[in-house]
Amino acid sequence: MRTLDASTGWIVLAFFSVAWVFLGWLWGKRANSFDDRMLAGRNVGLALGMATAMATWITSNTTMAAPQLAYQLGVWGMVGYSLGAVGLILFAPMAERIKHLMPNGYTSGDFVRTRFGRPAWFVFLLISFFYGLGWLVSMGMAGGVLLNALTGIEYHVGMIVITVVCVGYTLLGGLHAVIGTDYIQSVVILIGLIVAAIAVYTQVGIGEIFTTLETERVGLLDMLAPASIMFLFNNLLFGLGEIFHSNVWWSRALALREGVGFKAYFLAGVAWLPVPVVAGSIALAAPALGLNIPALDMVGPMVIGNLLGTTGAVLILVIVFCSLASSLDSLLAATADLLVEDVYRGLIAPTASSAQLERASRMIIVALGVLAIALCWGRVTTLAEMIQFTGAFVGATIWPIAAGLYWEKTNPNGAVAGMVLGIVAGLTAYFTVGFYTAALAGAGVSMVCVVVSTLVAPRAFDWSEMQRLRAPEATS
Amino acid sequence: MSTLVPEGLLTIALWAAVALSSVSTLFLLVVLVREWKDGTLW
Repeated sequence: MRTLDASTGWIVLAFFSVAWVFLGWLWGKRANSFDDRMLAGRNVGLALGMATAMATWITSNTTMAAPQLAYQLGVWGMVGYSLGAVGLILFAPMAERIKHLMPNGYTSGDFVRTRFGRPAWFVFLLISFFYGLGWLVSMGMAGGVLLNALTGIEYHVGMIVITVVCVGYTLLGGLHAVIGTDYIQSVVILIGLIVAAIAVYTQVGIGEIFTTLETERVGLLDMLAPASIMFLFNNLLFGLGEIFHSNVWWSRALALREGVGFKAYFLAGVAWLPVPVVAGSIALAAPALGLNIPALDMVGPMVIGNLLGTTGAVLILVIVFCSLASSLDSLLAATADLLVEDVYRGLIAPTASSAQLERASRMIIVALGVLAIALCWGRVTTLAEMIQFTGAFVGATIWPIAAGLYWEKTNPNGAVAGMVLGIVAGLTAYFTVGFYTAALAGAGVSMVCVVVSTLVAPRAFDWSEMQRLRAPEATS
Repeated sequence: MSTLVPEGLLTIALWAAVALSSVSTLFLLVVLVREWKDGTLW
């Protein structure tokens, strides 16, 4: 199906790589301290705030796995995926509260440690790192798969190039670079997807797509397919868990200017809502085009490549490169922040200076890049399966985080039990029922643990403790 | 009773998704220009 020769692929890749690294270097000069580097000066406005939330949530998984899920689960696959937007929308008030509660805080780990103590903090960090690695691996694999399928560039070479570029500009520019490039990437992704979808709807025709599905793949149009409906609810909770716990979103909440958090996340959620439908609908044209799909996660690029030839192949390459970069950079920065603030400063060097923390942050970003490349080396599973596996872990964090933020009486034991037993339940469901139930089971058990524990043994928490979190300059 | 999505509904939903994405893109551009002018970008 390849429609792009390797030299064109390299030119596109080189253009965007140079652009991101240059912008990373340019915007990185705005940072004057470790605090600036980690949280972009804590004064980010609505345009950049909304775009970075949206671009980060439009991962390569959205642009590649949404078509796959539409092709496997039909209309509910698309709708279910788009319910991931609910996570952003519900996080909007939380972003305001996080900024208000811990104006000088750095990470989601800071919150869990202060709110629930060390045992909960350790469990939470393990979940965060496992999820972060799962996300990194799924995106690294996506980069290699895409470049290989569209241009013939060898899987390992493509995967390494994309990871190294993202490590490069995140290293140079910190969160300024991540947020600035996210804006450009979100606009490019949106325009690219709109163009691709219009091409499909006008060249193939929605009527033709519908008629072919009705005769060849009628299940994809069924509104009452049980597995698809289960997937819908699972994906909703999965999205909530991913956003509520991940430092990717907490660091943005803290980086946004006072009063911007709610609007930025809410509008990002509304803008994100149609994206999986637009991306997923492209796959529904595959039967009408008579395409033979050898790898499910390539169905979107195959349809676009078939319809628009070289232009389509370049378009999809740009879209997925932007969606990969916008998430990979955020994840590298946020995971590095978590490791620096919670592990290095929290456990190893509590009195480290701003300069020492900055050095540690750079080393950790490079180490994460190397680790991601190592884990992506063998293409172990499909993208959608990789993401859903982490659902058991993130689903279990929804209640401890939400109750921890709003429910004064929630106690540490309930939070720990919710996370641990939620993971056990989620993994059991993943292996015994199916991938589409992992987050559902994890969130359900976690909810029971947190609610019952709070009602049985309520423990008041003094919110002002959060105000004690301080920047390293103040403690060095 | 058929439980299939009606063709008309599918058509409306897909075009509505494209329209909403277009509006979002325009909104992002407008807010960027406004904040750029005000010096409140970041």
